[in-house]
Amino acid sequence: MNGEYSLDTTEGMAASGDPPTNNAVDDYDAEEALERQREEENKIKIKLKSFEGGVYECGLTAAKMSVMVANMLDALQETDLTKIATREPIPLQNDAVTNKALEKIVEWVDHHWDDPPIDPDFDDEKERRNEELSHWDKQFIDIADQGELFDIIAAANFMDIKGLVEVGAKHICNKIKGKSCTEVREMLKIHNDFTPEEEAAIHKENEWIYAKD
Amino acid sequence: MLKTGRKDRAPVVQWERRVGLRSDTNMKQSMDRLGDDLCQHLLSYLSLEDRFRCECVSKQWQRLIYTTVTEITHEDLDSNELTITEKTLDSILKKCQNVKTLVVNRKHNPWLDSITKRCTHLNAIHMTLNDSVSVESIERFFRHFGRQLSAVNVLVLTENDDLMSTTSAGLKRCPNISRLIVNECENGINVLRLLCGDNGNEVSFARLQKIHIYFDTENVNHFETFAKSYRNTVKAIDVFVDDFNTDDKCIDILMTGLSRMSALVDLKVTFKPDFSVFLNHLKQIGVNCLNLKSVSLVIDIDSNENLSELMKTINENLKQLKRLQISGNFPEEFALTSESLHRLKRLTHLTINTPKNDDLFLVGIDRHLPALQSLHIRYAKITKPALNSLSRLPKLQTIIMCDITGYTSKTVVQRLNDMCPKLRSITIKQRNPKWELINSKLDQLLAYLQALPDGDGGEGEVYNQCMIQSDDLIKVRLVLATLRIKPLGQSVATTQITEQIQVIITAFMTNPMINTSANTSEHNSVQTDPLIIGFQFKANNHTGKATELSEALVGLVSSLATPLDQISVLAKNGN
Repeated sequence: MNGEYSLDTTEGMAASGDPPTNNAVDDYDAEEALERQREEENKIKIKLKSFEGGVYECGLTAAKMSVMVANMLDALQETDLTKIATREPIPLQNDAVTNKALEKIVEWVDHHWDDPPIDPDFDDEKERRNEELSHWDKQFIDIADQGELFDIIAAANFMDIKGLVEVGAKHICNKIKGKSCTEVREMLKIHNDFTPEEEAAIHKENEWIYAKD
Repeated sequence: MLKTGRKDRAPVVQWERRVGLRSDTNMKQSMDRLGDDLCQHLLSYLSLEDRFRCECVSKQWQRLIYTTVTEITHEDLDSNELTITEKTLDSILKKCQNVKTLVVNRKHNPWLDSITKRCTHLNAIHMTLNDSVSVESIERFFRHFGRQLSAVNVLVLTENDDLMSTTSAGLKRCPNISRLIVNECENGINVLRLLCGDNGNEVSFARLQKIHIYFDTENVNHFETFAKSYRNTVKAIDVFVDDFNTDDKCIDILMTGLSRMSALVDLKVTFKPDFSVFLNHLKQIGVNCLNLKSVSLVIDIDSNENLSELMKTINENLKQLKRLQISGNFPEEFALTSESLHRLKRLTHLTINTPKNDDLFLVGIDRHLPALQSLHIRYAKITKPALNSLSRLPKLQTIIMCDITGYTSKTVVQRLNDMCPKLRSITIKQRNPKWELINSKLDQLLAYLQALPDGDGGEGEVYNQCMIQSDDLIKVRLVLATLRIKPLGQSVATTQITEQIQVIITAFMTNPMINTSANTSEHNSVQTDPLIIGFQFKANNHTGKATELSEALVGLVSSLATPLDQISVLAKNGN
């Protein structure tokens, strides 16, 4: 169950001689307080404006799941949060942020804003990467219109919402799984820019992968 | 942040060219619209096999698809019966230039030279030493990678002294190791000696963070030095304490040493000697190691008094814990409530046995352990109050339940799915009660392993059926048995184990129940995966045995390949 420690060589040594500073009880209270503050802040609604001009309301904590939005709000240096709520809508200047995409994105952050944060004491990244999508996320991302799906992924990427980009990535990779090159191209409407000779050459290099078929 | 297509410099030309070729609506539907950075990130979730299959999708994909392969494991290579030759591995490594971590097993030893040649960024390796690997290859490997290695895992399955001394010498060339795992064996590589030098006064790996240690009387002096020298760096220790070759005095030194490791975050102890010695020291560790966040104990508890003592010690002295795992045998009948751990308010991950046929532990768990994200229990009766308590845990994401009673597995999965929107996965592992013969044979095998003399015992986990929540379907995986056998000692009779496993497989194949796929009767929408038999070994002490047994089992399983395939077909038809 324990996370593995980072294998990165660049990781520095633990500072030797540092006295242990951790006080479990204080930490717990501080974390509790932070959580309550997040809850309170999410009751404040801010407005986000899509590329097409649609305006959508979103809880403040949820909206801050977008690193881009969080940075923009930080840049305002506004301490009075209620003023943020009455501000002009925040414009999202990328053509992928359509009305439909932004509506879905608001739905996603609204479900996920209170997810437990990543625990810095453990490196679980590998497990998270390999984890299957949850029931809720699967239903969320199962979108019939592929154009809309790409809009959401590109918009989430533009807004820098890591968790949502990951949901999109896992969904697409699940769909690719086990399919042949031709099937993948067909499904994702990808233009084949290889000549038949080039394609045959790659196929030959990777022959071992087809051996079992 | 990753950039989208339009902002990328490189692909713009391509993008515009394509827009010229196709209408805007078509472009919108096409993945070609995504820029290199995003596309590369999306494809990073593909399996190694899928990457090779999809290389020829487009030039963009060819350019990006291998760049994010940073780890290759034997599981990637062994999946789906792919035949991988030395040449294949070489071509894989040639394409995956950014590999940092390699986990290979003994089958891949001949490729060590290829790894040395190809993997310029390698910093973590999991290798197996057996007689198929040459001293020269090992020498070359460590000479080449020495300083860049930060994690090394060596499984020794040989008695060749040259090989072991070359590896020891090789490891000394790796001053930047932060994670070192070497299985101990007689006359093998002595980890503590490696850490502290032969004189016991060196710090060989100044960056060491994670280490596995096999502890006995012979190691005592080195351990003391180790605990002193590494107390401010080592964050994770996995220590195995046997009950032969250890006495109270050396356990005292061990535990006192551990309690001085002030940087310790993650402690795993497999403790075979008398339990009472352990408790006092655990308290000491709790008081001294203030950074400790995770404790994992493999320990047999023989009485209810000892169990409640252990819980009391943990509850009172390890309040800061985020993760707790207690495995091992518990008394036949025991009482345990979640209240006994109620001070562990930050606990996010818990693995524990809960009382059989009782919902005692689960009811009220939401009040006592409110931060739980992951819960893995064995036994317990699942009742309505139990489910209600579970559903009130606001952060619960993962549940694993084994051998539960009360509601049927299907009901449990469905109810929890409805009640806990945040839940990411539910796994339920059950014995199929209808397979009496198979179950009794499996029990016999387990009993045999457990009854082996001190230090030679095995342990196992045996399930017939494993349920995994997925989509709206409940996926049922048919698992004959998963056995973990460790450690293997001199008195293990390899032939006896393989014979018993053969009996089990035969009983399974001739079982009339298999036709009706008894496990599926509960469900309508069930996917049944092919039969899976898993064996896992952890070798210890007498390595020859582990090799012998694993080879015998590989032989057995492969000789049965055809009948097993038929079973998987049968199971599918039964659906």
